[in-house]
Amino acid sequence: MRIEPEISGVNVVLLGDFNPAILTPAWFALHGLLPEHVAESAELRVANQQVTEFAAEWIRLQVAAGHFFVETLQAPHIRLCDFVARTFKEYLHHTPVRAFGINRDVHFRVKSLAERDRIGRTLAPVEPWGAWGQDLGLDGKQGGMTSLTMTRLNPEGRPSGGQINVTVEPSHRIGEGRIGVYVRVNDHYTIDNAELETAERLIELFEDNFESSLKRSDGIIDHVMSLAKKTKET
Amino acid sequence: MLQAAQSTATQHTNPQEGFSDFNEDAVPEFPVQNIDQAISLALGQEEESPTTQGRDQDIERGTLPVFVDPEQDDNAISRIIKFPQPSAYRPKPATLHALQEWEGYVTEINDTEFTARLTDLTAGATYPGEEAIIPIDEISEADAAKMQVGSIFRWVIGYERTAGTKKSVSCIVFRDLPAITETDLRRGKEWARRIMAAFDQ
Repeated sequence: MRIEPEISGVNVVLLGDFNPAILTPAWFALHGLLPEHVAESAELRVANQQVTEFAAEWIRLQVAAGHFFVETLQAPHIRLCDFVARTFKEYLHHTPVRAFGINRDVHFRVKSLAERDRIGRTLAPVEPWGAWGQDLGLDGKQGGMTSLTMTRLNPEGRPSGGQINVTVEPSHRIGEGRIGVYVRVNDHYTIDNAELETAERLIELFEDNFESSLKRSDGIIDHVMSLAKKTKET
Repeated sequence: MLQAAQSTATQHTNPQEGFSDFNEDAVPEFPVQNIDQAISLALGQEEESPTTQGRDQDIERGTLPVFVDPEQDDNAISRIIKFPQPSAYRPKPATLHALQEWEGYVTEINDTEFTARLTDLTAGATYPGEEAIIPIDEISEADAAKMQVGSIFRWVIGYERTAGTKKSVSCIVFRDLPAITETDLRRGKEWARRIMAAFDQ
């Protein structure tokens, strides 16, 4: 990426039927999915039949009855892939899983409010908004784009129902609300064959696509970063 | 772009409707008796639109309980219910962004260092093109204990940021690969058959 992100994360969300009560740090340590010292240092925020959430070193996990969410802010991101693959291939392979998302989240800082506005205006020009759009000044005080999502439906080379959703917003977390940009790429995979609604098939798909998905996402994010410069030059 | 302000969209006639507005003062108006009921009620919202996104784009309206942005809002669960905090001060988690990443496999080990073949993933390489001799002190005791010839690892060089500080970091992590399954073996055989068929043509 041409701009080094200040916050750079990857998360994986699986949709299915899970049992949050068992998925504690101790369970992951017992099965060798997390080293014991990592599990012992975990900050367990909640663990009951509805939801489990903990953070430990490089990983944050949240499980509810309908979703399994795991996140890392630290490279190498392949650890997340190995963790999910081992969990569902070796221990939860009969768990019904219907879909998963490989999500890339990046917050980066541009040099000025004008640069951030250029990204926004390139993606969402004000001209089509007519006279009202002309009131959206460049100083950030009169308004502008707050959130934009573009979706690619049914990307080639994967089961139907997949989506790639890219969202660009001002960052709430860096740049003092003025010069931070947030980009999220949600790479969504699903299978619609009821017979295959177990973890096994989807986890194969997950392993096969994890790194190429992140590479594609990084390319999209890098392109968004490039808009600040490109528009500046023109 | 514009920093989003709190929404005044017409569908939000009741400010208590948004879980992000949940606070102690609102508890008497909330129809739950204990934490389990509260969590069930909150998670029930998710069933309307399951998504594999880390957050939902409707966060600005403050109505999403769990799939709210783990990035833009790094304490999503607390937006639903105030769980007890383990300590008064919780440092922000460090973020490590890789500037350079290699995948390596160990070819030789001695008492103080090991030799590895490296594939430059940042450059898009698909085969090992470099060799490195790495001091064993560079890896964790746990990794050193289980390292053997053939072990696969990732080596990342990048910047780590924590609460306003930034430092360059070199990090070696040994991969914890899943065990090979019957399905993996079957797929491997199918792959080998396809390759052989290609040679036969």
